[in-house]
Amino acid sequence: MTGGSALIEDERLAKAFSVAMLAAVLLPITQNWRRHKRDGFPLSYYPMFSDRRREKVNVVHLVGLTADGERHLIPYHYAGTGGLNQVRRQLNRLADRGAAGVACEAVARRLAVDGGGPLGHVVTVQVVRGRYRLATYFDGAKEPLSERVFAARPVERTP
Amino acid sequence: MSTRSPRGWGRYLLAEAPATRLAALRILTGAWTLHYVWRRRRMFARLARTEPSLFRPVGPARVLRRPVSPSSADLLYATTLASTVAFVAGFRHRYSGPVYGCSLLCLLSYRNSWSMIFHNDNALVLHALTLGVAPAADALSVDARSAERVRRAGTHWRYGWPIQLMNGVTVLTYFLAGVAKLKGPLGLSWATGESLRSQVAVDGLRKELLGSRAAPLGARLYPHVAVYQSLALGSLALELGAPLALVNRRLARFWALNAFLMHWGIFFVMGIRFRYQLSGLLYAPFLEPERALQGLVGR
Repeated sequence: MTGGSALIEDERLAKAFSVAMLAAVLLPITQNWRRHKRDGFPLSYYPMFSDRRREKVNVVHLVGLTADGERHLIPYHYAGTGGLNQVRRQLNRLADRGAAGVACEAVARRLAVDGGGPLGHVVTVQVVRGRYRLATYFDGAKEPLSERVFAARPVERTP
Repeated sequence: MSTRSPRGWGRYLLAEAPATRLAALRILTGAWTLHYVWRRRRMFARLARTEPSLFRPVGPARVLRRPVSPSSADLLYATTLASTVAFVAGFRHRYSGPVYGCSLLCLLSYRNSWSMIFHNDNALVLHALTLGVAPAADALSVDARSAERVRRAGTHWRYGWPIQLMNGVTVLTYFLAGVAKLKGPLGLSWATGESLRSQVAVDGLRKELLGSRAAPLGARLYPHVAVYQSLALGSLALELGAPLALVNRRLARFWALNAFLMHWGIFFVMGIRFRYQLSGLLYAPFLEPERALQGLVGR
């Protein structure tokens, strides 16, 4: 049958394409036996949820301080676009490279323009890495065990 | 075209299916893509103008040493959107299908290169690539208005192989996730549920600190490790047993239903949205989506 309604019309081609696709999807399984594993897209070995998690966890995030020293968590969307995980990864990369000031400045600028509610009183933005103990955190002790400030910038509002 | 009956794995691969089933999958997958890509138009536009040093290419984007210009990224987005519209309509499918699959692959690879690998996109892209090269527009399409196509469209292996392949791809992705857990640092002890509980807790912690909303159920269940153990055992069984879904249709539907429910469970406990999976469309090739579509049209 020839009609050309699709790229693959031939039985042999259909089989070859199917085998190639299934093999390609299965191939990343070999990453599990490698010392330095590498994930890919769209061919992945699906390592999500397989890592060992420690009892103490570090998280890079944004903090806003008011003139009275009150502390507020600043939502991720002030730092970038694309969802929480995307912004989280970007903050991690910037902090690791010593470039957290870039994100800090961007957040301070956005807060100066559209920071409302409790964030309307924030005068300083920080990018921090907080260390938390999971069990105590979910027991209600929300304070970090320790915290490192990577960058701090003032929020300059025009009257 | 061969008319002899296939044997062995060929019998699985070349199972017959009606043209309308494949066409329904084209419409559903394409419509989902359209919704997914259109809703993120501002995100894609901003992404193309992000700090270049954050670029870590994955997938086909690895051919790039640095990000492309914002106008090139905008062009890729527009191409994906236009080809998706043509794909849904079944317009010039021989050309629009492959362009749809490839442009979606490139667009989502480029997006992931700026952040992390969003594993929920993998199956969507693999399904799109399959539907893009298959005769998925021989029915329910603009192309199908021609008399010759209408005559051709019926029940045939040429409409069955893409569906079988999509199902094969789906179960393999779950199987890989199961193997990764067993071959990970925890091995079989992953099934104790401790690790899953910690994953849920870390995810909730990150969400709270980054100003999002952690799933309240995950925090509430934290003290109950037995709950996490049963969830871990269930998901391991579902993932490692996924290839059994290819044995027969009844088993396939049972597996698909459980996988679908698992993702809703993940959503309620962790607040993580595996969007394509939650929509149920990932599992549509296991079913008869043409009936639902015809029911909607005939209503």
